[in-house]
Amino acid sequence: MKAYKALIALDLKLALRNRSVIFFNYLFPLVFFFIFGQAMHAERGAAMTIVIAMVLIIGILGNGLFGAGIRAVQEREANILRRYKVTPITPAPLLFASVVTGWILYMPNVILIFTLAHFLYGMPWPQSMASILIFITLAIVGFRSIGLILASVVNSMQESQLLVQLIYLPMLFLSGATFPLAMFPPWLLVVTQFVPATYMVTGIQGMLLRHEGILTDIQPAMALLLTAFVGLLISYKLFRWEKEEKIRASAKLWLAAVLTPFLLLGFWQMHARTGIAKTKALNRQLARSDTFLIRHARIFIGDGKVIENGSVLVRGGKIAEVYDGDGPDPKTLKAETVEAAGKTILPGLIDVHVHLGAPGGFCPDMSKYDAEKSMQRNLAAYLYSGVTTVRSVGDNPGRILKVRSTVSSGEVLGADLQTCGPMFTAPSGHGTEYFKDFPPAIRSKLEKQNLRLPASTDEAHQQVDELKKQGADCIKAILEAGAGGHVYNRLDTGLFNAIAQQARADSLPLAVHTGDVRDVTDAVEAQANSIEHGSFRERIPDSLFDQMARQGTFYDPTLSMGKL
Amino acid sequence: MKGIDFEIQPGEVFGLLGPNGAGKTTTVEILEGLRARSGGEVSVLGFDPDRQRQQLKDRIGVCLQATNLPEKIRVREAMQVFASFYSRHVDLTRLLQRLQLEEKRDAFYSTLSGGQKQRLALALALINDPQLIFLDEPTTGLDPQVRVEIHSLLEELKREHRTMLMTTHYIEEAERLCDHVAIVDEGRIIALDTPAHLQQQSRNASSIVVTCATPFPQDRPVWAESIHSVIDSSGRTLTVNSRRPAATLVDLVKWIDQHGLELTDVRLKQPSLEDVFIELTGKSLRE
Repeated sequence: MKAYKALIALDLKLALRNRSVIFFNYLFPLVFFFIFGQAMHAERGAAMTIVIAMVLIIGILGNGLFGAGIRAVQEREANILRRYKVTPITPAPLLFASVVTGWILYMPNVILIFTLAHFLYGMPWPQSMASILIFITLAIVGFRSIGLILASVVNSMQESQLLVQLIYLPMLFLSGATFPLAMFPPWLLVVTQFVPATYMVTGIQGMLLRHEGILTDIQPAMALLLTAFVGLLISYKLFRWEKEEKIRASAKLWLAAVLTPFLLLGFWQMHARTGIAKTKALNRQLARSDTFLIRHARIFIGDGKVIENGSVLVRGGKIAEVYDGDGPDPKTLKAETVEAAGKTILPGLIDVHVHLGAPGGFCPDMSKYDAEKSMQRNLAAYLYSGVTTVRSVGDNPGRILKVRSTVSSGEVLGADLQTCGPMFTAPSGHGTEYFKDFPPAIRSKLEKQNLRLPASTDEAHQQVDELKKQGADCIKAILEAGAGGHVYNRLDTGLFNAIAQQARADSLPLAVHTGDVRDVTDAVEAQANSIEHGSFRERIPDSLFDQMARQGTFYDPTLSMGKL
Repeated sequence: MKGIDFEIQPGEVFGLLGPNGAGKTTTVEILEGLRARSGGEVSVLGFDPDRQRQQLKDRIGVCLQATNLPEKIRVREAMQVFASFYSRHVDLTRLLQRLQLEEKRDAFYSTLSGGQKQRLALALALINDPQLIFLDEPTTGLDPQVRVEIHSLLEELKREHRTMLMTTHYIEEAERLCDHVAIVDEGRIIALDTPAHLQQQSRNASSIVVTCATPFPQDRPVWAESIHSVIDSSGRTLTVNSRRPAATLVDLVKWIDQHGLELTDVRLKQPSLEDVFIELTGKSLRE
């Protein structure tokens, strides 16, 4: 134990006396911090996250590969380790001291960077600071051991320089630390999932932007820990005290062994793709998290008031302030200005009645129809048109819930989505007619996916409950007997009431398709939250509307404008 | 290694002498526990260097050639860190005083002179109060002046009856410091004795050189045990070869006295260890 303490103390003293250690651990990252902080307007918010992740990764890579790796080779080449060889110590205290020293040297730098970001660029203190520090600690330990294993498998200084560059450069350029991953093509994004530094970038950004805890990054955290463990173990086994002892060339494969956890993680990510999804979401969130001031626009407040010439301040993706007139100087707000003279700003629109799974006749070749892509494209189109939220009142639940998660995570840009999942109706009721022309086997499968046809009140309760568990936002039921040439089986009132009762118990708003006054009446009696369509054939009495207003049942007439 | 077999008694200085590539370093590394042996039996301080490596290293001191310390380490820091490696260590201040490094205690390693660096290396070898000290070419590459300095330090250690095993290229170092010398060549010990005995065993006889004030008579006898004699061109210096120079000398002095010659100088030249070495190996030490 004495030797461990003495070597750590010595390594620290030697490091502090070494100008290049101070330069690469402190000065170099700080220069990057300020240059990119200024150039990217970090004071506006978004860029600070990028700059911090970049500076930290550059520092961790340098600390591990140069600080631990190159230095260990130097000590061997300079015949320093040879002197230790004749003493009773094993390589363990030397390796351990290297890792601990690297960590002690690096951590004050982390605190310094966050302090500067806070006081000079107004970045709020990270909420998950403990997780960030743990994560960086694991990264330092992991990369120090990569450096040490590298030193263990090279035979000369030149070899070590070459190998360090071979690791350093991809880690720098393929991790998002320097070039943002947003500009990478899809195949290159897959490659980044094999680069350990990528997980460090997305990990630190996630902790900063989304206040994620270390558990969100448990996979890379474990991979780092495993890398550190395997790296130190193999460095111990392959440790050489003298430059005259050469190691066979095949020993370099041990380096691959140490990186195996990340290789496995990369292959796992090729399948799971959560890493790429997170990367995309983070990029979107980063793009949103800047501060900007939209000026000289006509503004619909949303409460009926209109400002003819006003400004809107957006900070961290949210409307922070609306000003009548120019508002304060954008510089004091640390905001980017967007000139919007002649343009109009209005609150995001909400469409409460859509069916995203219905291509609406715009798909010329059904064999090429990809429901999920179409849903995503529709959501993007809604957003582009100013509709910021839509409610799907009848879609294949598996599909729509998946689309909802990709959009809500930010992986794909689109309008916010709320969904009821499938529709409750009667056998041969409205909703079943879309599938009646399919062969029986396919028909029953499609009905099972898109509809719920409860046969008993118990089944109705159970089916609502199940949707709640799957993550539905609301429940859709159909009360429709049809008319003229289109006659449907109407959902039994007892079953309908059971559905309504369970939806209320599960706190799921109930939306009811209605065709005539009887349907509306039944829905209102069951305390439905919204009436969809209303009555196609009769006038809804005012008294019914009065009751809806009293009990808070909304009316969604689903009127569309067309041109004749 | 073909045949290395020797024993070192406590308190003695044992020298391994041999040309480069003779197997000195290999032998020493096996003894220090740095290299595994392929066969044979080794016991150092009662430890098997292969199996009790750590215990052995804890009890020995080693002064290697061509080692370094980090440039920016201070003398006292080097002492402290090496002291931490051992289960026991001597008083560091006293050790520094003893090796005349006290003034340099705060100096960086890179600022030390060659002699100071070697003294520090010796200090580090003594830090655990070792029972056995290995000195691998302790003065190779040093200036003559520094060599003298190191030799006097080693002589001091010898007076303290420290057990030491040294390898060297320098014959005078071995003559001066070693109680026993083993001459190693091509992986085997070809001679092992005290330096004096080795010299006596030489086939080369000793020579007695006498000088007188007046020339010697040309007619001279065969003195006791003498082999051959010659008078130089001045006629006043006589060189006599002998296997037993003591007996010859008594006889010779008697003869000079009988002839009424005035003796001005008597010198006895014994064969050097180097002569012995060349005779045994057919090689020079520096080859």
